[in-house]
Amino acid sequence: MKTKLITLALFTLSILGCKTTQITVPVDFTNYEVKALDQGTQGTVLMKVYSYGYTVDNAIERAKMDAIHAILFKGVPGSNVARPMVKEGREAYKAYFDEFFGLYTVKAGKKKMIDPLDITQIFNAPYKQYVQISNDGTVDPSDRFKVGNKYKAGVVISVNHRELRQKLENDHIIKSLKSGF
Amino acid sequence: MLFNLFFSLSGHAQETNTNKFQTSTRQSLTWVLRPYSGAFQDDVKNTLDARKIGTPSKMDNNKISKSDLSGSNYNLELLIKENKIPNLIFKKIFTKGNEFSLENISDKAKNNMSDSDALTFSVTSIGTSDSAERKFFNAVLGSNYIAALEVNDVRTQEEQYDRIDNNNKNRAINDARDTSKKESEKYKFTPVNRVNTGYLSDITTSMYKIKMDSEEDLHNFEITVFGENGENTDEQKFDALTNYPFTLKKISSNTNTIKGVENKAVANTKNYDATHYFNKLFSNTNLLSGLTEITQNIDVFKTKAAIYETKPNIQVKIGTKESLYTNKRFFVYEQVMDKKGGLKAKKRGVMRVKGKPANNQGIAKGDTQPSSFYQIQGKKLDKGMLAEENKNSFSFGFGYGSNNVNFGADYYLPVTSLKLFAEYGVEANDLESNYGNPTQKLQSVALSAGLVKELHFANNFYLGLSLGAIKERTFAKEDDNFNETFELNGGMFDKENMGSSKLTYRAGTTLGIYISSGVRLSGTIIYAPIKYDEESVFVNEIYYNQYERSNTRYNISLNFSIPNL
Repeated sequence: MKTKLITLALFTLSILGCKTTQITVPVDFTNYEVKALDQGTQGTVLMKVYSYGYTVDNAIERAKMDAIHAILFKGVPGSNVARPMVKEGREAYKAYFDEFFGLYTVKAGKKKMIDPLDITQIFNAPYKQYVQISNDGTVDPSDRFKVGNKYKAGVVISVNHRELRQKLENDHIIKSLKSGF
Repeated sequence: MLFNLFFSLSGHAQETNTNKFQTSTRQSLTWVLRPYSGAFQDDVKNTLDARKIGTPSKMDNNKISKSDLSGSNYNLELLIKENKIPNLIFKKIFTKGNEFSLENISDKAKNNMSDSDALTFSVTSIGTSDSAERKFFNAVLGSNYIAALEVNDVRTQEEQYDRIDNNNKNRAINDARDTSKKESEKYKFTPVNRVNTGYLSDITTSMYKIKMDSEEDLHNFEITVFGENGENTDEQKFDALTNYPFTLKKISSNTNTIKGVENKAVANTKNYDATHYFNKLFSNTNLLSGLTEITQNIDVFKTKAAIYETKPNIQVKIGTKESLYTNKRFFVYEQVMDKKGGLKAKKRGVMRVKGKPANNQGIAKGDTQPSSFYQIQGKKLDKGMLAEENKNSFSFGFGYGSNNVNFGADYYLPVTSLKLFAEYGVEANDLESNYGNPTQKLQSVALSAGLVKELHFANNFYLGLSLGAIKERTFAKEDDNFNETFELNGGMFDKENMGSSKLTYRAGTTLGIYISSGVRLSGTIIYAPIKYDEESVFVNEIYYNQYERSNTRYNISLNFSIPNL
């Protein structure tokens, strides 16, 4: 009888153990949502960006990178940067954009890609000069979600697309608008 | 420019989000008063004319000039409409000086939105179909409430006593006629002790919302006021605002009895006049009592804000404008997404305001200094979680220890950082007579009450320091051989008066842990110097003295909060 009870208890525990919900969040640099809010002032664009991270702070940092990513490679529908700036896509200039976004670190002589859900290790990547959070850093509770063991956060981001375009033109990644077609 | 941009918002007006996690807008309130006719009507009118009814600071006061309703329509809702109160409110929202303007609504939106929204508001230009302004302007239009106050049945304290006596007499008479009840169970009439003098009144508070929160409501309103294509002149707009048929939605209503009384003995020495009693009767606290009850129980009136920072301490950008006070309690929630994409609100912890809250009165540009909070229960809190005010509640518990059985209750006193507690304990002991009588079972019951200060030194753990009074009575346990009365040392004693009572102070230390937001386990050591050696205990006709009981006692308790903490 005692053995039966122990077996039953173990079985129940194993069932309960299997019931934990796991939600998978794709771990890459394209998993984000972006929505144009408005034109900002002086060549800036405002957008709401929803990104993922291991923590809310990670997700906010990712949102800044994703905002730039959207303007460069996807375009932001409903804004004055609706078309992507780099029509050829990221792969055409992979080395340039790897450095632009600071996606690799060097550890013990080995180049290692950073974790897309924790980009707080990126310190001085060039993209950071063109992006900022539009408010005081408060995340609206309605834009903050716990998804499995990760977080999704939506923040209002302002991107200086005019200066960003200038940078890419200077680096010969895109042609100047004045140069014609 | 503002006008054109505002109008462009109307075609795609959105439903106001009533989601729990919506934090942006303070609600606006307008008081109106139905004139009172009845006993003491001149005193009531003079007192209320001289008093401006306050608005809780967490609500925006619409401050319209007219607050007394005129007319005799019994239906309050129709009376408010007849007096065009909603029209006056909306007219004020769209007026700057004497001219039609959208600056006022813009200022009102900024004053009532969260800091984060105010900053977003300031960086976006107005008018794009998806812009944040639409949300904020619609929120201003959709957050206007009218609180109607009705004074009824003003009476003297003497009349009130007469009513109580009459009710009690009738009950006693009915009980006397009731043959199904035993004689001992029947109610016996005792006249009420008439210690106070002054006045009482009933007040009914009814809360209405000006319905302007659906796409249809907003669209109809804007087409009527601004014209199909925004072509209306300012004169036409004012005219439309004056005559617009607003719809009211009743939110809640309650009736309370309020008092303006003094103790007769005190009143005789102070020579108070009627004005004193009526001012006390219609004090702001009394007039607001109904509104306070309503706003505490309705979600939309609760203060909600995002946690702004968690290091070095928890900070939220709210303050005196949201009626914050030291130790006010907040529950913390976060949204959790399940694997089907569904969202649930999960409670993550409980926190209270630490120290003096920030003064943010008049701040509308997003530069509110945050107020600090301390966490008392739950998991690690994080920025962006929702903090929602939650009123204090009673906590009840039971325990075991040197008091064999122990029952207790406590309650956080508003504004202070102290808890009021009351405890009842039952304890059994053996007692040996110094006359050689066999051991007698004694029983003690103790009632104690006092104040406790809880120090939350780590998440979910607290140290409680309490000070209070304890009254203990020790007597013999039931015994078949026990005489109802007996003679001892020339005196007659009866069972009921036997034993000994002691009143003294008690000091205690508690170590507690929150098991969940509604359940906590605590261990307490109490020092209560009760000695029976001078007034000895009488038991079973034997004179027991030097009943020594320990000055320290302990107990372990499990406490449950009603409803949550």
